[in-house]
Amino acid sequence: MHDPMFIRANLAVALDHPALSDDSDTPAKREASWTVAVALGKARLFAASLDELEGVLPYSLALAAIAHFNERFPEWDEQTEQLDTTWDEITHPEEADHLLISTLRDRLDAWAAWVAIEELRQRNPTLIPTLDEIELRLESWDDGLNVHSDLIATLSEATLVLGWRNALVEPYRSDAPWWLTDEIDRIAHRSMETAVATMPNSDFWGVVQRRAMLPDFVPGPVLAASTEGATPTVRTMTWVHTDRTWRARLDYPDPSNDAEEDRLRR
Amino acid sequence: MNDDPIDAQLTERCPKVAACLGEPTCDPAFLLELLDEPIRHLAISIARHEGIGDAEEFADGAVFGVLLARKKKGPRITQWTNRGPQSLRSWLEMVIRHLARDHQRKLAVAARHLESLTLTPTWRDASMSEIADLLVAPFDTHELATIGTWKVQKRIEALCLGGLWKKVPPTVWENWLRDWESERQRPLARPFPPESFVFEGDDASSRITPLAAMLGMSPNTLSQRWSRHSHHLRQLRCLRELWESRSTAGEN
Repeated sequence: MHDPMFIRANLAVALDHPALSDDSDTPAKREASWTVAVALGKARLFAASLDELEGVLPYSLALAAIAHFNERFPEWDEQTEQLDTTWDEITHPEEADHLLISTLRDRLDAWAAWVAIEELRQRNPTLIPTLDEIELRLESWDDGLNVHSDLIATLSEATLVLGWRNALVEPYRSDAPWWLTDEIDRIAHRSMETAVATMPNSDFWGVVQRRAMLPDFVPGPVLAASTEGATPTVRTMTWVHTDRTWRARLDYPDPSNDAEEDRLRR
Repeated sequence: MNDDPIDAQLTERCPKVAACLGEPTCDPAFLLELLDEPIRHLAISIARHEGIGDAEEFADGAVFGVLLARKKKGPRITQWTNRGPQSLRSWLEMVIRHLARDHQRKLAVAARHLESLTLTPTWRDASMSEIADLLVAPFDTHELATIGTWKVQKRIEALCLGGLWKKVPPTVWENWLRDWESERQRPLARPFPPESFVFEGDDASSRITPLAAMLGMSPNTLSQRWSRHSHHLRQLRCLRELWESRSTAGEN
């Protein structure tokens, strides 16, 4: 039995939710229906075996799942819109990854639920009302993710994302969002190149390396010449090599008169 | 009686649009001829309502956004399924409002990134002498106070990748490293960054991977953090002066 993601087990638990037997339309029933739609859709996306649970999403659950999507969408949309500002505020890299992963997981769930609902609509087009608005909302969500592609691409080597990418089957693999294709690697590579282009170049690091070979600057003459408790006044002499690749600098105590200054300079 | 010219246009043209979409050989040029004007009209109206600066330019984009095929997908217009005159208008308004939102979202993110992109000349065009001048003197107290207002992660990452940590007095740098360790609950070997980081290679990219490993994140995450935070370095007098001198030199 092929089910490396335990989708069948998740579907069994979802179908067992007591809220599904409610006659009335409740938030709990809508959420439970959504969970069933997600599990069923994931079984299609990742070719999981469902055995005796195999079937099409029941009509009442599809309507309840759509209602749940419409309820939750503003929150998901807002979270996506604020993705960069939230990411910037996060201190721990693990939390930053978690924020991005949970955003992608929500979008993947919506894709899966959509696959399950669409499967029902294909069998009976008149059963489900027009889904234009939902399709547009999903597109808007994707547009929102596209805007943050540089951030999302930081997950290009994340185990979970690689797992999703590898497990997708046709025809869904060909229709996958960019973050589940090679495109995420290309964006990550491009982002890295952009970052490197704004970092100090090899000339800069050459100077850093030469500085690192010298001892740390200690204002010895100043300390030696100053009297205890007094704040020394410092003068600086700088020599620059003719090819401008080497510099020397000397900080010294302010001479008491011109003759001493002249003697120091000589 | 409805005097709205767009309603009248759509009522007249809607059956032709629906018929074209029903044909496998539907000509995009024909759809453009039928819908260009109504889409522009609706887009300009929505752009003004949403406060989009260049409504005409947005309208150009909206025409393509509705009628042009997208990557892996057909044109949005093929998603209009409930094919009647009034539904076409409300469907178009719904799509164009989504396009307007996407347009504004992209502008907002672009504006947030613009400042970081302008940092580039600081490093790229500086002469050896300017770099030496930059590195020879420690940060002044005002610069240290400014850096002290940044989150400790940003301090360590930006100063290491920027090659500037030696400008921080050793005791202050050590305190910041301790703050980092306390915050992240993760030790950093001393000296930090290690000598190997300094002599890692000539280019910046060779330093990202080892530093990311030391700081417990992926190279992609570290480079993205640099892209998003490094513009704060320009708050520092020494870099601001360098940047301004390069900008002036560029203008001359």
